[in-house]
Amino acid sequence: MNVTFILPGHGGGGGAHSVVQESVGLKQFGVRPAIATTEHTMDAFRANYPELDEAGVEIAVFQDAKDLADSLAQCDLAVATTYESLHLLRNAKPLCGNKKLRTAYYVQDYEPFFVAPGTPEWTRARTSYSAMPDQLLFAKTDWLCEIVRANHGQPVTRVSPSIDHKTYYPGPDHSGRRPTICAMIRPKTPRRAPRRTARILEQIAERFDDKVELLAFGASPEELIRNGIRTSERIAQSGHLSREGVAAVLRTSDIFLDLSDYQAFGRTALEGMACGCIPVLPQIGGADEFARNFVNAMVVDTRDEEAILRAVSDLLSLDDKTRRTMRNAAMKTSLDYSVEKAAYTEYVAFSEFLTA
Amino acid sequence: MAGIRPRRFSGVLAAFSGRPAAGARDNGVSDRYGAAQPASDATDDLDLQAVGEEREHYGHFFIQNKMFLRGWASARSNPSESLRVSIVIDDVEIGSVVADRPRANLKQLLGDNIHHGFDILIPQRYYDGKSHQVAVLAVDGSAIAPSRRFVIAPETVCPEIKIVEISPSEISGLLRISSDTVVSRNLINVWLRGERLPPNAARVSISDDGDSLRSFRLTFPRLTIADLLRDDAHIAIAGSFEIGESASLRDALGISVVRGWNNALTVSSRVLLPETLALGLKLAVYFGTKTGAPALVADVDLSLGSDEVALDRAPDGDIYAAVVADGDETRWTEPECLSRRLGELVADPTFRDWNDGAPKSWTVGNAVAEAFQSYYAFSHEASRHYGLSGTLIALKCPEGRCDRMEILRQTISAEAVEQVGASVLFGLAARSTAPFQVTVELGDRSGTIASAVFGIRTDWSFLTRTAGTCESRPPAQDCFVRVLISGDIAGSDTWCEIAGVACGEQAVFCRKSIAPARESASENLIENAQLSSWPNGLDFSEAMGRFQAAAGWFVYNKRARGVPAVVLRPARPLPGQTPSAAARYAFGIAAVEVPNYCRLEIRTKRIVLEELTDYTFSFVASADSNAIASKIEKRQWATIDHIFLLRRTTHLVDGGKESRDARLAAIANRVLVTKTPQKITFGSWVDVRDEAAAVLDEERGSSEDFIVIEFSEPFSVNFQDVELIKVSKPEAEFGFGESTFEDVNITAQIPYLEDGAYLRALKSGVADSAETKAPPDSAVSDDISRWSWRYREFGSIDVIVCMHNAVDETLDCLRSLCRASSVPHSVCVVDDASSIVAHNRVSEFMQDKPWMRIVRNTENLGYTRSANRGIFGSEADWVILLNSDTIVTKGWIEGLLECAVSHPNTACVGPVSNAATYQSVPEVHDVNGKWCVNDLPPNMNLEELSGFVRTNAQKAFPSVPLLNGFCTLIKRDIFVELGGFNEAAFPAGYGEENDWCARVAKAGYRLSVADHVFVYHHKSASFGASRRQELAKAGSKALKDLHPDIDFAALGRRLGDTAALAHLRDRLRALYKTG
Repeated sequence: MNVTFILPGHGGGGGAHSVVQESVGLKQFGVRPAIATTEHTMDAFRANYPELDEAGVEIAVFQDAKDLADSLAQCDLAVATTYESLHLLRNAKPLCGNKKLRTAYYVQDYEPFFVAPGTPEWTRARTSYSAMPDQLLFAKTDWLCEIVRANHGQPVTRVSPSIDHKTYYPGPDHSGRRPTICAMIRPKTPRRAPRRTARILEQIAERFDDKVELLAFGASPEELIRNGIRTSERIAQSGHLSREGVAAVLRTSDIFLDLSDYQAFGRTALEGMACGCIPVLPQIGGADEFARNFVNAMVVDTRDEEAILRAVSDLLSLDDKTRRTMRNAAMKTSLDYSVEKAAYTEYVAFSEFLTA
Repeated sequence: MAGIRPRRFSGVLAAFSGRPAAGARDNGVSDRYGAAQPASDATDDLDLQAVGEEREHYGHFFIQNKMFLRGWASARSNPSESLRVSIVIDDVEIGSVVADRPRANLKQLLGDNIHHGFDILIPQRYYDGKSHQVAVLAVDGSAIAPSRRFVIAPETVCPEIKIVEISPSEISGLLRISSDTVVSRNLINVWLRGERLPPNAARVSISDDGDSLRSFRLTFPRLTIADLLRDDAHIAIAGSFEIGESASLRDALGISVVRGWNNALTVSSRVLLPETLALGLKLAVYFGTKTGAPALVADVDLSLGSDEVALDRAPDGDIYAAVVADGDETRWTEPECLSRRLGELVADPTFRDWNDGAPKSWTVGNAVAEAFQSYYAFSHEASRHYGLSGTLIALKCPEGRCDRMEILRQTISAEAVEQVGASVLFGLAARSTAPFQVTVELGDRSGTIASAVFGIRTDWSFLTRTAGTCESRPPAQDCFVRVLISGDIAGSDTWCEIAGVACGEQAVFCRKSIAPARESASENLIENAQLSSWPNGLDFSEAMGRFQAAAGWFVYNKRARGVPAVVLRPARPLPGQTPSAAARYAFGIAAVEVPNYCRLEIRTKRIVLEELTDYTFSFVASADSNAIASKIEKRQWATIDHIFLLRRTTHLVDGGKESRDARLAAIANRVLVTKTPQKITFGSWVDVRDEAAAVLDEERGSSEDFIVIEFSEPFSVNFQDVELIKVSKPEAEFGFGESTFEDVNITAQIPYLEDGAYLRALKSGVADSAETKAPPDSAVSDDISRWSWRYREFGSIDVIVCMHNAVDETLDCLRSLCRASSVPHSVCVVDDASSIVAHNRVSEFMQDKPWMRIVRNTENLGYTRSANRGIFGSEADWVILLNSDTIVTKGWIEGLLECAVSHPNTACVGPVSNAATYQSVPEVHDVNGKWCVNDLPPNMNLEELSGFVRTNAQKAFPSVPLLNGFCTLIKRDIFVELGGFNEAAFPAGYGEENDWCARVAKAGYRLSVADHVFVYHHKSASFGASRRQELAKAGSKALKDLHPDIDFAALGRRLGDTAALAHLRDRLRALYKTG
């Protein structure tokens, strides 16, 4: 089958990356994957994902719906990956002339949460789930499936999420050294709770003094200051990091704090687990599908700062043996999630849809 | 000059009754010498007739300008001497003056000795429209002239003087005089160290606009202001210094000392002082006492308005500070205590408390684009010094010109502002992304009371400023403290972070918010608890039978010959308590003989019988060995036989009224009252209602409730602070607190989302434990349940299991914990010196369960000490003490918690079980009358039984007097407060739970049964039968010794009879029958 993933923009985010990886992974199941991306960001995109060329995954470019329609001439399944790309697809499909073209929607997050209610974007996000008749909706976590089903009345097929074990793998165990706690502070996405994360890191700095090392990444110092976040010297700011950079940080850390308001999946936490780092995750969302409190992670209601601090304190007070137990459990859990597995589940979902 | 103490001259004036001088009026204000008069020296009335009489001390006086007493006096034998005379009004000396002013027209009488004149101001208190008699007496008490009467109308303006400004060369101020007062330069005098300066020492200039309020200026050709301050200069209207009315230069300077953060004392002056004024001031600081040598003397330079004196150490007690001048022995200001001052005016100065993304106590200004809660890890030194909490408010400031743009505001109480004195300290801890200026202002409806300007920089700065308050201000209304930006803000994205705003007289950023309006205390249901109403007087020697002493307090000594002696006494402070300012009383009651019983019946507001357990009764009692009746033996104590609740119902019958008493609750028995006053609390009331009486009660008549204190032997006791309070239940509130999502988009969308198992999580943070699913491939076995967060705000939970060898049992218990416990918790096993094998088996089991830990006693400490070790060693908010021979079932922790939060005062919760003495279901006793170990119902497993209990129980959560210790949820800080289990009295774990329950109840806390939670108890024997009997006996004895007033057996029976448990038992019995 010919499957085209519509992925506008230059990529770089976790969602785009998983689409790229999974598209490569689909090859081994006999699928001919392609990625359609916007023309003006194509160079950046190619630079971000050299593996596409290596794996022989076709990259199509488009500027508007017409172009997109042209690139879908031979396609069996066109997969939208965001609400914008879904609406684009909706506009492109009638122009396509390809009778056998069917569409799918890869729900990677609950996007209405990204925008303020009542705005046109919000309406577009909400209507994306039922905009195309006869489309396959699929998502990585039960939580996502359920939230779409309950609010938009559309059945969503569950597929497996993936993480990239080539980039995210553990380093040596560093007991004996003072523990390192890392976190992402990204002011431009409020749902990732950058202010809460900064507050918590500062409170940890105050409570634990020199006993822990604190590291933040995700924004340049100027960007932080522009958004009113000025952390103390106790917190080392690493600025924007590439995926490899993030992996390196996770590898050298003992604890990763994801204090987002919610996590549809919790990719970075799972990537952290793959790197041997014990995550603290938000309870709201799909995290508990792989995270078990006090087993391989700490799952907290991130709206309760005392609970977050308690969880961090509990982790820091573990003796070495227990901490290693949790770390091992975390690494083991991450092994359940691979590109191959994710691609397989998608292959099955696509086949069933196309033959149904 | 010290204040004049009026002396009474009884009889002196009466002795002297001369006829009034000719030409002078007997009474009435003399207007003859008013405004029409020329310069003041020539206004004397010289009465030669009076002079003609042969008196050693003679002279004359009259009333001038309505309120001045003007006259002259001389001694015949020594005409050159200036006499001191006393002015006496209505037999009270109001002042004394040296008659040394020049009077030109005395020349004709006394030649060159014309310095015999005096002026004195009549004090304002006599401006009442009434007639008063004034006399002027010489040192020997003889009157220099006949006394006079005067009347001064109340609206007469009493002269006043006020210093406003002090500069190196002049003093200026305001003068208030009646508009028809003759104004001359002699109107203002300057006094140095009690001596009046000669007229040419100062140049006086008074504005002549003719109003009653005028300004004046004083310059001193040969003196400096510094000299004047050093010599304690006073400025006074002529004649007023002698009566103690003057404006002190030192007071006008308004030097105040406030205690700021860093333990620095800030000294500032109210009056603007120029830089060139070198005053040479010092601050003397005393620690703990205001006498003796100062602990520290430091130079103070007020040329910039304020100066700081750092204290190198922070004293524990009070700090007193006084201002002294260099080279001067005397203090300018009295040592003032700096520790008991007003304190902080601002609540939550460090932005600790937030609600829904906004600070609770502050309002953010509209012009602020964004505000959020932030945090900064200040160094410990900085935090401690400035009292910082670490939390901050980050504010985004608009670009451009800001003219007094308000960024923060807080309303503060007018009462607090009324107490603010002459100066106020402002503090600010802030930084910004670009520098600018802010003003912190204390103001009210009428305007600014005080304000200070601060420059904020890009790095953290902690700034203090004192500011003088507006002098005369109308009563404060609608007061606030606010922060304003003035000036230009360049650039967008300017953020200001504020860690603290302070305003007050101590101005440290207090960690605690100031207490809000006094917490509404629970109402005292005792009538006339203050003992302020005694309708029948205070003498009861003639009383008979049952009589009312204080209102609502009745006394009755059955079959005694006399009545008990009742005395109203002042209340005594408890040891360690400071006496309160308000008068408090004690009720003293004594009886020399008590043939039957002697009762004190105290009437209360109506008691709600269904909620008996919500009531707590307490009093402070002391036994009086200095008995009124000396026949009582010299004992150090007295015994109250019973305390109980009585309801007296009165109903009408033919020919009169009939009363019936019903005892409703037993409160205490055999209460010992010691000589030292001691507070005793009775929180555990036992319902002893007679069903029949209750019915009667409702049908007929009116009733009154009394708490009866009954004695059965002679006594003498004082009762004070008698209190009956009812703890009210809060509204059912389940602690889904105030924290919010950071992303406002999410919060805004919640109302649009459909409900559903996973989505409920978004709406309230709950993931129903019943609906969580195991992941398809779980890294951990499904034997371990997932944790949900229903009780998010509840606090942390630690399950403590004490183990001594019984490994298999313990492991069964731990396994059940894994399967059943779906609420976040940790587990601590206290291994009381079990064998190494046992220890290792449990350790191994815990290996992959990081939330479980094991601590080991290297020697056998016994159950009680192990339990104490586990609980004291925990840091959780709640602990569940669980026997190792128990099996828990799904939802057990949730159920215990649900019971605990249903009532505010709950300290302990226990479940029902198959074998837990009075908590056993369905049967408490077996056929042999021993404690029953119930089997499971036929064809039901444990989970099913537990589910049955959960659905069929009433969930009444009854309050009980005792709990079986096999499984107890305990609020940890109450455990710590009450000292934990009594290791000494109960080392082996028999009876310590009863002692603990008794102490909890006596302290007024609540014990409840979660009747919907079932926990299985193997009831294995830790000891052999005979050893058990021995330990039980020892435990019982210890209990009796510690709680002679408690009948534990009766309490247990009461627990067993609880309605909710009876209901559950009935339901369960049905199961066993159907089988």
